[in-house]
Amino acid sequence: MNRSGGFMPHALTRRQFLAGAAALGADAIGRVPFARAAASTVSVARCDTYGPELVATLDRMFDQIGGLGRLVKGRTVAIKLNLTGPSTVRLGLLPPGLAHWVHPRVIGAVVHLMDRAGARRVRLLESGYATDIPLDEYMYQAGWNVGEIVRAGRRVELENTNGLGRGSEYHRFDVPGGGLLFPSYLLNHSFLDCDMFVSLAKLKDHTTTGVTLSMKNCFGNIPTTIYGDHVPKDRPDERPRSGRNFVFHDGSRQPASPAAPEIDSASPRHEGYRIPRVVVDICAARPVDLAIVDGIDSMGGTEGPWSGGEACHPGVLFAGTNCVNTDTVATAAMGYDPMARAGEAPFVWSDNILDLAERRGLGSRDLGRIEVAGTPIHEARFDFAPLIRSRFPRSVPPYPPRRRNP
Amino acid sequence: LPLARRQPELWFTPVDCRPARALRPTPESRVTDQGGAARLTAFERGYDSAEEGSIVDLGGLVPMRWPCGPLDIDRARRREGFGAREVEVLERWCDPGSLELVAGTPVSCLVSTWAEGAAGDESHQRALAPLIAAARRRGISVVGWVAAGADLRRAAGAAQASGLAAVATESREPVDGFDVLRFRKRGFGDLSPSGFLGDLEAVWPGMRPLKLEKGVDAVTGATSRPWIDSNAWYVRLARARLAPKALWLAFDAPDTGRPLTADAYLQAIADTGIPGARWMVSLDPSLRAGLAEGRPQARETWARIARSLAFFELHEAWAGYAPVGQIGVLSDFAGEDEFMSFELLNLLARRSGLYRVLPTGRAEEAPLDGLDSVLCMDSKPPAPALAKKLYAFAEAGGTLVTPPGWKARGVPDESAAIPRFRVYRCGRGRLAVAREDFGDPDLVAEDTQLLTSHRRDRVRVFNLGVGQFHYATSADGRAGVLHTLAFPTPYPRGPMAAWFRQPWARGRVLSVDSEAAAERAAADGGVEFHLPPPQVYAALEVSG
Repeated sequence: MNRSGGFMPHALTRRQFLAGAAALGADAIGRVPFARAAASTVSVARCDTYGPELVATLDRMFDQIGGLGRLVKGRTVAIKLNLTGPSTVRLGLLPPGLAHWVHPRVIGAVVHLMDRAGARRVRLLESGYATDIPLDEYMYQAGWNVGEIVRAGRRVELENTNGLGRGSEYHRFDVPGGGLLFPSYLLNHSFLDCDMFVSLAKLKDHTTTGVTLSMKNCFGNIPTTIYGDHVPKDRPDERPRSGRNFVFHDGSRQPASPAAPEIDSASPRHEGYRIPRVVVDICAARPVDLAIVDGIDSMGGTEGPWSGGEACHPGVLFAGTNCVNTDTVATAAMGYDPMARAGEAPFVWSDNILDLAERRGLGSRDLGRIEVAGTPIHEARFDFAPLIRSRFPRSVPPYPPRRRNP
Repeated sequence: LPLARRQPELWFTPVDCRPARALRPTPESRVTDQGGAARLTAFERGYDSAEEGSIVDLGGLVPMRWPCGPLDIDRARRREGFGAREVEVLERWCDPGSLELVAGTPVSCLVSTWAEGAAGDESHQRALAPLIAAARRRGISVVGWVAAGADLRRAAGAAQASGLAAVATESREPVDGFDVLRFRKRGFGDLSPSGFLGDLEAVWPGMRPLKLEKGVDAVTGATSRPWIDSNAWYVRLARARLAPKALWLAFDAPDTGRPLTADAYLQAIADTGIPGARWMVSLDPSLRAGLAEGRPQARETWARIARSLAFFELHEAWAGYAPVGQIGVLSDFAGEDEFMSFELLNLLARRSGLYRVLPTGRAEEAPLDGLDSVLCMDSKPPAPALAKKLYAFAEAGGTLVTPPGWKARGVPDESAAIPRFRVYRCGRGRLAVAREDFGDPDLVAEDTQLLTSHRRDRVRVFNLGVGQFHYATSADGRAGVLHTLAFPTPYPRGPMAAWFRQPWARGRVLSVDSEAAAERAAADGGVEFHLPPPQVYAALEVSG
């Protein structure tokens, strides 16, 4: 339990988490009573550049949430990066770290601080878009100096989690108490072979889910060798070739066997219904122990150049041990209301992902209960709403259709 | 209106095809004899020359298929969906006035049907006589296409008597006393170095959406790799293997029932021109009809085709640049290894991989300078001297990629993350031996790129979308060109950027219709040039 009396996933191993789901008082369909949703400290800091101030700022932020040592010392840490989209796509001429990808220096700084705090091993994870090539090669394609990242710690590994990677089998992660869309997910071994799981995300709008922060980042945990558009029905295809549109966005097919099919094949096929639920499922099945959001340089309007968008400079960082709390604070700092209902900005095309997560007991979205350390939200605020003008028109019908989310 | 009732001046009038800079050579500049027929230097061995000094300079000719006359009309009649309008169009193209179409364009050689071994051959040849004579007066060469089943000697004799510059055929029948351009199916098993090579198996270049059950379709995602048809890899291979002075590709524009766009033709011209070959320009039936009827849209398309041809003529020096090679592909490219080695090159090119062709027969003498890796494609092990050279390449810092059976050297490299290979640290370099026989050439291409590592990339292109790029440098290394070919996608396009490891000082972006300086910026490990959003084709000329 954390200081606020809520559930603190990072203090538990995965096994403990899974075993303890029932003890949390989940009801028959896995929902945890609202009042029990965790509220922990979220650190917010202004940081204007990716220069020398970055390490000191992050160091101070980690101290504000209880220190890195207690989280990582002697542990294997897995960090899910946000490197969404193809490695050779840019927003205009901007390198991806200044727009839609987490910046390499933030990765290096986090690795450095974790190494200094005694982490036994740091493993960087991402499912490269439509490919299973080694993650360092994916980064090289983008023009990154991978050596700088790897040398930031004593034992740093990289793994493309879009397939088996260095593992020999996929591991099933059951969603405690069932799931909102799928009962379980098959993931790369790296999500199991770690003592602590970090989501290192970017502060961005998202065309479907409204915002993409530490929770939505975990959508990329899911391997397209199993959940990709063109995989066979009866087995994984170890050569990923596509995204996850068919299984998740429009629900036009089920994942490859042996992954479990979705719970209710009659549920809405609209991505505004499906994607937030998948994300909440994944965050419940593989809990985020530490959430970090890079909002120094970013882009607004969308999550990547393929949907439009424009560059922006919020100049802010977020960190917290609860992903829902952290994303709630970040959402507020983006000028949005975390309590907004489906159909209201920023959740104009989807259900409110924070609402769903809170209802699942993953954490509170109540700013009144979340302690903010460091920079107050109003001082960190950077309004993303005006940037939505840069979003390319979409042909997706509105969601929810002529109704308000209950 | 029926064509016959149209005013003659409405059709086949010249178009303005001036490119952005300067102009292609004028027809007059190619005329060297009193008769007006193109008559230049002697061609070399492999080309069936009548006599030294009497034949056309194939390297300087820009050929165009010119369907017309009775034989083409007969062929059209045999086709399903044939219409009377088609006959009228083919008759119009036989009219000497049709030559106005190529006036002022780079097209300098018409390739017309000449003989099919049919009863109508002679009447067809007589019908073409006015066109041939008019072409000669304009300094345009005419080459007669002789079908494989025709009597080549007889057809060649008739061609010579009619003033044709040469005949072209896939027939192997020997002919003395007249120039014969031999077209062949792909393959090098029975070919020796040749002055002329005609490729009969070329494909219409472009993106081909696949059926989903077969793989990725073209519009799945922003970068899912679609199937791209291209001839560039074969041209590079043929030039490396046979060094022909002229390489012509014979492929027809697809008949979709509608005129193709000028961009589609530009793809075909660029895909052929970038590696230094010539496409026998072949217009789709709808466009030919549109030109015969003087339709403005057709004339606009043709003008752009002509400008595209002129662009590559103007920059023909680029074809002499050496493709920058990072991966040496070693094979004899023949026999049982032909399919895999051909597909490997095709797929490496599709990945915009930088490769150098290393024919096994010449590999012992060939320098491996500048290569980061050598991929041995053939199942048969190389001769001991060549194997020794390749191991030495690895020990000196290169990466040697081989099929199974190669003797391991060095110590296993446990950090290598390419599961289909056993990798050994070997001196300063690495040896990667495949665990199983090469099967999927696309996997071999990808694995080889990864074993070579993108860390060593010489060039990276951002925001190209679905496309390919080709990078070549001049012999003195002081200049280079990056060609980009982009295919249509539903995704909006932003500005491109090209990163080079070589710190080029200057860059200019050229397209068929424009030319401008490219902004240069320092970038990690090299320099970056900023380019406009991708067009069907653009070139970045770098220097300094």
